[in-house]
Formats: sequence, C-alpha cells, structure tokens
Amino acid sequence: MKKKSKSESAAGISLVKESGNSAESSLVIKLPAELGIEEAGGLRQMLAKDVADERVVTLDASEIQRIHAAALQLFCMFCKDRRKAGRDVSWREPSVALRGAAALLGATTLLSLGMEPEAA
Amino acid sequence: MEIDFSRFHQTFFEESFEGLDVMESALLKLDIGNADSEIINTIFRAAHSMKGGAATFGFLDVAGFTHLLETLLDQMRSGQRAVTQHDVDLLLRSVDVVRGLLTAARDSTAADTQSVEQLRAELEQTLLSAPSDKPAAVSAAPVVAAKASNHWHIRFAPHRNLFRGGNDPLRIIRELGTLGEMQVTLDDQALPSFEVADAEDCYLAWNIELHAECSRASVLEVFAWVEDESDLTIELVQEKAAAAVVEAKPEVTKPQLAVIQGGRENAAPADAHKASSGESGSIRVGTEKIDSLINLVGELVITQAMLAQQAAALDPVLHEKLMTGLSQLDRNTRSMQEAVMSIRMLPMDFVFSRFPRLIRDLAGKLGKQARLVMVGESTELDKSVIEKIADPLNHLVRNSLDHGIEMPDVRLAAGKDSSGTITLKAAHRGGSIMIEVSDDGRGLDRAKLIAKAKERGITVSDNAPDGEIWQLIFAPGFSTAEKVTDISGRGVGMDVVKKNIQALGGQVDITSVDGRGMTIMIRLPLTLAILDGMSVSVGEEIFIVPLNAVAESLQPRAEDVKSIAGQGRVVRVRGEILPLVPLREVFHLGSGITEPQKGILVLIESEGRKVALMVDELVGQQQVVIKSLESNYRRISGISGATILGDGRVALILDVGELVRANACDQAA
Repeated sequence: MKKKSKSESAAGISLVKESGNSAESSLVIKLPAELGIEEAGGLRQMLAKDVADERVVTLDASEIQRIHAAALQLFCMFCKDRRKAGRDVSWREPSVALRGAAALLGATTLLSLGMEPEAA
Repeated sequence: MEIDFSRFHQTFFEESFEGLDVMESALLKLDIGNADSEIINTIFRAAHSMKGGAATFGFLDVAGFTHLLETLLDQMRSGQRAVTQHDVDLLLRSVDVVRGLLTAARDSTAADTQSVEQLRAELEQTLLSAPSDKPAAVSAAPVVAAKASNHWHIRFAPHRNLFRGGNDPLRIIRELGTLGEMQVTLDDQALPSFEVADAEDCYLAWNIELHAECSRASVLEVFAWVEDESDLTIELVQEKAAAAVVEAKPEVTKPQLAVIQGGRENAAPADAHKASSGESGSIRVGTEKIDSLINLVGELVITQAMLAQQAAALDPVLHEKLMTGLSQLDRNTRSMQEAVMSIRMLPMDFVFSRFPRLIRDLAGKLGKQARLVMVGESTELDKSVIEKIADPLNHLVRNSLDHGIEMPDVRLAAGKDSSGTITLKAAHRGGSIMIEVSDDGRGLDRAKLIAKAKERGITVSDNAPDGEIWQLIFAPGFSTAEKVTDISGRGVGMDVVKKNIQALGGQVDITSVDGRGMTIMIRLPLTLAILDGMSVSVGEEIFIVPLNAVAESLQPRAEDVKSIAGQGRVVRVRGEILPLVPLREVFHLGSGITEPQKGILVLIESEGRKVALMVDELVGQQQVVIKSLESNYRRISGISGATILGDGRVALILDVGELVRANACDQAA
C-alpha cells in the first residue's frame, strides 16, 4: 500500500508525495503543471526537505506544462547536491516542456534527463 | 521573496494590444500571392512577442492560442506556405479572438470560449493541411542560409537579480535559437548548495555557439531586455562567405517568401516591442505624468508672462542684462512648451489605422465594394483630442459606407466604378487640424431631407441654402435610411458626433453633390491646453482672440462705417462689406469706445465668413494656457475658455466660431 501526502506551499503549488510503505526505499515527488517564477519559492521550500532524504527520490514530471529557468535551476541544485552526497534522483515521464527547457539551457546532462529531448 | 508580477501586467496588456493593432494593419497590407517578407516578419514578431509575454505572466490561453498563430506565420515567413486569402482571413479573425482573450484576462472576465475553440480548431486544421501553393524553390533557401552563416560565440552570465526583473533566460535562449543553429553549454560553477540558495536568484551562466546568418545587432536585440542585468559578450568567430549571399539574393526564380531567409537580419524574431524600442529609443510614460508636466509648463508660461509684464515698466537701458535674460526666458519657455506639447502628440494614423479593417469587414457584410484612401496619416494631434475623435470618425466612416456608397450594380448603372472610394484626410491648417471624411457615393438627397425634417416637425424653409439642409442630418433622431441596419441608420449618432466634435472646440461642415458623394469636414484645435492668442482690451477688460482666427486688424475711417437700419453697422474693408461687431455690446460691458474710428477692428474669420470685432486697443500677442470655464464656472455664449494673465487677472478667450456664426448669419438674414 502506498501512502500519499499532499502539502500546500506558500506559493500555492501543491506537491504530491508518495512513498513505498515497507522498505521506504523510494520517494516520489509529483511536480505540478505550472512551474513559473511565481512558483519557484514554493518549489524550493518543498524540495529542500528532501535534498537529504536517504531514499531514492523520483521526480514525477509528467504534468509539467510551463517551466521557468528558476525552477530548472532548482532541479539542477537538487540533483547536484544529492549526487554529491551519493544519493540518487530519477525522473518519471519527464514532459516535453521539461525536456525542451533542459535541452535549451544545456542542462540535460546535469539533470540526468537522459534521452534526447524533442524539439522545443 | 515573492515577485509581484501584477505590476508588469498593465505594460504587457498595453504592448499586446499595440501588437494586435500592428498585426491587424500589417495583415491588411499583405498582398495576396506576392507577400512582402518584411510585413510577414512584422506580424510574426508581434505574435511571437505576445506569446512570450503571455507565457511569462501565466496567461496560458493567450499563449496557447498565439502559439498556433506563430506556427502558421512561421510557415509563411520560412516560405513553406504561400499567403492565401483564407489564411489572411483566418489570421484577422484570430487577432479578434486574441483581443477578446486579452480583454478577458485584463478585466478578469470570462472569455468567449466558444469562438476561441472554434477558431483554434480552424487554425489546427489549417496547420494540418498541406500548405497550399508551396513555393517550389523554397528548399533552396535553407541551403543558402546554411552556407552563408556567421559563427558567433556568446557568453551570457545573468546577474543574480535577472529573474526578479521578469526575465527568463529560457525565453531568451529560445529566441536566440530561432536565429540559426546553436549549441548551448551550461556553466553551473556558481551554483550554491540547495540549502543556501535563493529560489529567485540566478546562478547559472551559458556559453553558446551560434551559427546564423545574422548581424551582431540581431544577436544583441535578443538580449535587449537583459543587457543591463547580465554580463554579455558576443564574439564573431568566423564570418560568413559573403559571396554566397550575393549569389543567392538576385535569384529571380526564388519565390518572394523564400527571400526572407536572406533578410534574417531584419527577421530577428525578437519581441516586436524590443525591436521598435531599439529603433526609436522610446520609453513608456504614464499620461498622468505628462499631464502634470504640461500643467507645470502652463504655470511657467504664466510666471514668465508675469515677469515680462513687470519688466515692461523698467528702463531697458538701466536693466539691460535683466531684459536680455527675460527675453531668453521667453524663448526657452516657448521652446519648452512646444517640446512638452509634442510629447502628447500622436499621428492621426493612431485612429486611421483601424479603418482598413472596418471597411473591409463592413463592405463584406453589406455586399458592397469599397476602397479606403488615407491622406496625411502622419499629421499629429494631441492625444486627448485623438482619443475623443476616434468614435465620431468611426461613426462617420460607417455611415459613409452604409448610406453613401451604393451597391456595385447601382454604381455601375450610374456609370461609376463598381468599387466606391472612401477618403480620410488629415492636414494642419494654422493652429487647427482639418479632418475630412469623403465618399464618392450617392450624396445627400435634399428633397428627402426636407421631407423628413417636416415629418419630424423641424421647421425648415424649402429655399434654405444647401449648407443648412445638410446640417439637418445632425439633428437628434434624424435618419433618412430606408432600413435600419445594425451598422447605422438608427438616427442615433450623428447628433452625438456633432456634439462630441463641438465639445472639443471643433466644427463640422458638410458638402454634398447629388450622385457624386459627400464630404464631412471637421476642424479641431491641435491641443486643448495652450493657445496662441492676441490680447485686446475693451474698457477695463482683456479678451483673448485665438490668433489663427485673426485675419487682420485695422483702424477704420469714419466714411467706411455705415449703419443699416435695424441691422447694426457694417464696415468696408478693401471693397468687402463686413458686419461690425462691437465687443462691448456683445458682452454688455459698461465701458469701452463706442465710435469705430477711435477704436480698432480685428477681422476674425471662421468657416469662410468674416466679421469685424470692434475693440478699444490691441494689447499684445502671447501664448495662453487654456483653463476651462465650464468646469470652473459655467458655459458662456461667445466664450470658449479663460486664462490667467501675467498680472494675475483672468481674461476670457473668445469663441470665434460662435461669434462669427451669430453675427454673420444675422447679417445674411
């Protein structure tokens, strides 16, 4: 069984987290569709709690429709910090918007978004 | 720290509405089948800029819709799609839809989702369909471009506060990508740890290799908004082979649209506003700031007049330096006033540009054919006047098309071109602007107007001059239209048109020739704030006569003045007999000269008629700041406003039009 928790940030964005119940081996963070500059503060607040999480963090980016460089920069820092500490970050179904933005900003490798992005 | 985006919203909306106007007028200029690449670029840039802004500020429906427009336009400008009437119609209707979406977003109201969805489907359908009449040589263009590209190395290192200024590097780099091919390398050296980072600070930088056939200016234009908020270096690594372009350009067989590739420099898809601000170096200032500046200059003019008046009593020899200083102050004040007034001036094109679309749509609706000729669009007029004249002009143009221009078959039967012509003209005449709306339609029907007037209980003589009969169309509730359409003919409006124009201190005149068309002439003051006036005295009072109405002033000889029984006096000026109007009698003043030969006659002219105003003496000539009498006191017949003189006294400004009308008519009667 999976546990789900929903938290509201200051900026009004909601991040849905789910985690495996027994092994607690992974944490999935569902990212919202809107990641504009106005959501950056809220996004940082939410991710900050999980930078040091021991489990594998999976960012569910399937719904991202709009993303600002500020949000992408937060993902860069998040991934970089975790990697430095030997912790993994993986992506679940990164949307076209996310992959396009990462490719444009040259952040595909840093974010380990892997496969070649579609045209932005 | 949260960024307050709402403060940018108003600018975004203003720019977007301007962008839509640009798109609309450019679309109407597009020559189907032989489209000008620069015009398509203009339209594309406007759409592109709107999309970028809308996405930044979260107006997703606007961004989504303009994305479709942009895609269609991109196909046109890259030569993949020929410009067809269908596409132009579709784009014009899309402009309306975007306008609706923006209005809804601005006013926080609901948008007309049905028409949005309908048009969205149409656009998608059009985009899916193979671009018709695909130009054959189009594939050659990218090859030419590739051969002839420059290699630029760009280092873009934003300052920390870049995001806070509302900028998104993503949008900038995306725009850069439209110039050509690029490789982007992220520099994350400055990235702090997550813990200490501020979400709204920018820590990233980029090294970009761009291969594009464009100039440094085009690259710079992409960064125009962030130049001051970033460290930017742009280096040319390798110049293009110049010969390749020279060869490519004169290729005659290349379709019109493919040439755009060669013109990439102008085609830099940077934001339209950026482009225009780059060209003209303009800034956006609130009108209230300008108004307060104009008020202050007005006060300065009054102070200057006061000083000049005080100085007049001094000995010029003893106070030579002071006098020189004062005359310099006079010159500078005048220049400053002109400069400040010119800030408020807008070209008539601001209003005229809406009419091509109006005529196109209306003519289609009415089944008529009409073309619009515009003359003097660059004539400038005060913003406040221009805004108030827009609606009356709109009404007149609609009226001309609806009632003036005949159906094509009727025109042909009358030996005219099947397509009617509506002409809009603007020109400066002295201190006024003349605006004419004319058509070559059926003209006014004198008999019908008289009959209608009688039916409505308006007394009118069968022998009244044409000018008087034509003025009947301005009577409230007066319409001779046989059927009421949703365009015009309800008889509301023409009276309002006249009232609005008169409220601006303007006059309306009509000329009409049966079967040949009619012309409506509007004369308006250039500005509502300042006036060049001649000050005259009558007894203790000072009056200001608008200088542009003064034909001449003279002292009459006793034998030139004649009395006509029961009709007052006339004066002969070089063989011309003019009504003599003593100002002291008009305004019932107790004092003042009564014998014409002892006073001065100021000949004033309006609507082609003259009268001779009798005053005691001419005091001087000066610019006066107009203060509304109506808002400070009440309307007085024969007076258009008031001003404050150098000595602090209030002087009344004469309403020349009214004085001439009242007295020249009396004379004629």
